[in-house]
Amino acid sequence: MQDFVVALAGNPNTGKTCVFNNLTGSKQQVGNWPGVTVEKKEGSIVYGDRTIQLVDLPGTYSLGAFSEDEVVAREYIMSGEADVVIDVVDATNLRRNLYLTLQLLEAGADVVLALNMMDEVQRYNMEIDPKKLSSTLGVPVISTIASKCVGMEDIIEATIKLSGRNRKEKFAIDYGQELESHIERLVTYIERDVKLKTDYPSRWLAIKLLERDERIVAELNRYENAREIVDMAKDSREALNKKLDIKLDSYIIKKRYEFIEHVLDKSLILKESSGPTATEKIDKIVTHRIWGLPIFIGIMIIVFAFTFALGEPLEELVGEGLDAFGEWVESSLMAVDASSIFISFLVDGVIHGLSAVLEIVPLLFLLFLMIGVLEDSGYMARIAYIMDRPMKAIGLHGKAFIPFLLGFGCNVPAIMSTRTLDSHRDRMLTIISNPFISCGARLPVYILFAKVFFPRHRVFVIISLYLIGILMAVLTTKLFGKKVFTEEDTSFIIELPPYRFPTLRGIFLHMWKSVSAFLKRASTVILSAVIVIWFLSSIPFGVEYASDESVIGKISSIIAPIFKPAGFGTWQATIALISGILAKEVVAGTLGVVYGAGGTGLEAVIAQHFTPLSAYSFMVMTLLYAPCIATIGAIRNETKSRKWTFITLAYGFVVAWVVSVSIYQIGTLLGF
Amino acid sequence: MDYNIMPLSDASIGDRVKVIEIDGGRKVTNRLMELGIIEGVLLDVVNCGGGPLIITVGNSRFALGQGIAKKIIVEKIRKNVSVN
Repeated sequence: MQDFVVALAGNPNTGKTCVFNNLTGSKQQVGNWPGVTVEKKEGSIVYGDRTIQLVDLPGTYSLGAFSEDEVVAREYIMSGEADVVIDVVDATNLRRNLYLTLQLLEAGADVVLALNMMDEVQRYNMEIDPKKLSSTLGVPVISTIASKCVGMEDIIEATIKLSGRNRKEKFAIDYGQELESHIERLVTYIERDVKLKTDYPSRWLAIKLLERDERIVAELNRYENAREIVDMAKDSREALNKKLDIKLDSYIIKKRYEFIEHVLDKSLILKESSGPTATEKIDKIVTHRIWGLPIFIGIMIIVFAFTFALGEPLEELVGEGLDAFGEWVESSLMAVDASSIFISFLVDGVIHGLSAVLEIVPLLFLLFLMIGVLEDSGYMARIAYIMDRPMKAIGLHGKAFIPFLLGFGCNVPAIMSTRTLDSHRDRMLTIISNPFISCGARLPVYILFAKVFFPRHRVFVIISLYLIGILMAVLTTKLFGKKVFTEEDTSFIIELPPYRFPTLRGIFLHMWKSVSAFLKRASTVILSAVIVIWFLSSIPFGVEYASDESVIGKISSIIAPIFKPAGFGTWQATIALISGILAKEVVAGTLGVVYGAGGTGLEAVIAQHFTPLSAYSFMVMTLLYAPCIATIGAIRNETKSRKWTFITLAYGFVVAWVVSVSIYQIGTLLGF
Repeated sequence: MDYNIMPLSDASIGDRVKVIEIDGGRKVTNRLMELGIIEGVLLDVVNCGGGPLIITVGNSRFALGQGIAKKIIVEKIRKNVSVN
């Protein structure tokens, strides 16, 4: 049987990603806040003798072109790559969800409607007739409860059935006589152009032009004869705007809603709403205008306290284990007379390099786990609400706070999540300042240094680094917001999804995701980095391992003076920072390699090479100086600008240098 | 009497209002309409007070910033029903 491609579309918070996981068995992360799926994700379904490619599109409310994720979804649908589109709708919010359905149908997609969360319909005192819904919309409708895996096979079967069929009847909404005559005229002209006719559904294109969709107008510039059609659409718009009593785009949206009302009249029975739901009761407290913020701060304190209280003992345990392992390997190899180069490679290079990194695994698990719980429960969207007022002070709205929060886990998904922000300005500001937010990968350095130099004030020192990062992000946003991106966006809208208990499965998916991503990095980028550094520390052969006579020592010695005013002008510190650009975890790993020691041994060496003040200055440098390669890639992708990627990097380094040097110099003056 | 016509930003907790007009820029107006906040629809104000408002439309809840709330003209049809 021939394979085919299916796309999953739907509003945010409809359980779309859950359907994807059920169908593909993938370990895809499910979140309960708008915009978890920021890029399309793929998986495959094997059903009987068929293999179906499944593409999960970002959750969007519409196929307009307001935010980047809508564009991703629309372009995929319009590309025609998908034979069938499964549209996952939240049955308890049919009216709004069907808006996207209509747009999919208007775009000419073959749609299977998955009526999800059917188990919650009764609770809202509603009744839905899937058969009538199906007949009025003209698409197969399947009732599902994705969270309980109900209806999944039915979806696949309906999809297979639809894929084999050529739909003859085209879906069309009646936009009323006035508009229809203009649409018809445009369609006639569009169909005269063979190229346009093959690239776009003509009626859809005519409507988009009447809606003045800027992306489409820009795309049409590529066609030779499209100018005429664009101008014609402009005339139509002007004529219609005069005739209608409301703006044309509003009129078109209204007409779509009229159609939805017509569909719902037949298929939905609404009874008087019941008492307040659990979500209402919880929101009453956590979004309270006075208590909301303290509750949020309290929750964040609990999140971090939990992470560290539980993570630190585990981290020490892992560290001791790795120490013992290194010693065991060394003595066993010596016992069998292995060559000293090989022992050095395995012990100084691989084991010492990796153990500084692996020690942090338990802490990272917990940190990602907590962020996952915030997402899955639905609290994340409330954070955006609560933070709206504080964020105003730096010229952003509440939704822009989410990328900052995600940055504490990892800057890459954080920067990608800015796609859900509607304004270019907010995206740029959030992206430029995000690298200052201290991600989990920077923790190994803090933990290592804080343990050695500030054993009694570890927590305080680590918190202070987080705060410096936040402060720099805030100042950066203010600076660029005032000087470069001045046009403030005041349109804050976010959906507050119902609270849900994070499921055990969801929690495991989060764990799995963070662990696998981290271990993958540790086994590839970080491992290769430590091996290269070991190699460069060992050549030219015969030189004392990791001495300033080695290649690495010589190169780094040239750069090291830059860091002298910050208190750590040694070549070892320099190479650690340089290699840290590969991945921030490597900073600690490199120190392990170049000092040829891991675990407690490394702690002792570091104590000799740094003072508490230079150690603090080094931590601040590690926090601020540069994002890792993966983050740089994300910045480049999301800003779509080499210039801004470069500015972000250069600016970041200057800030880091100035702050570290100030701390060291002022500290020295004060006699620390 | 026209007292009942006001921007949504002036509504208080517990009010049920009907959307009369959205008087914003193209982008904001379209976005609101796509979310189902269109003329004639009933909104319940769940939370407000200086910062953004929380409203419900059908079974959906949205937080709306003050800037947007000022552009939604509504008619108050039920006052301050205690929301538990």
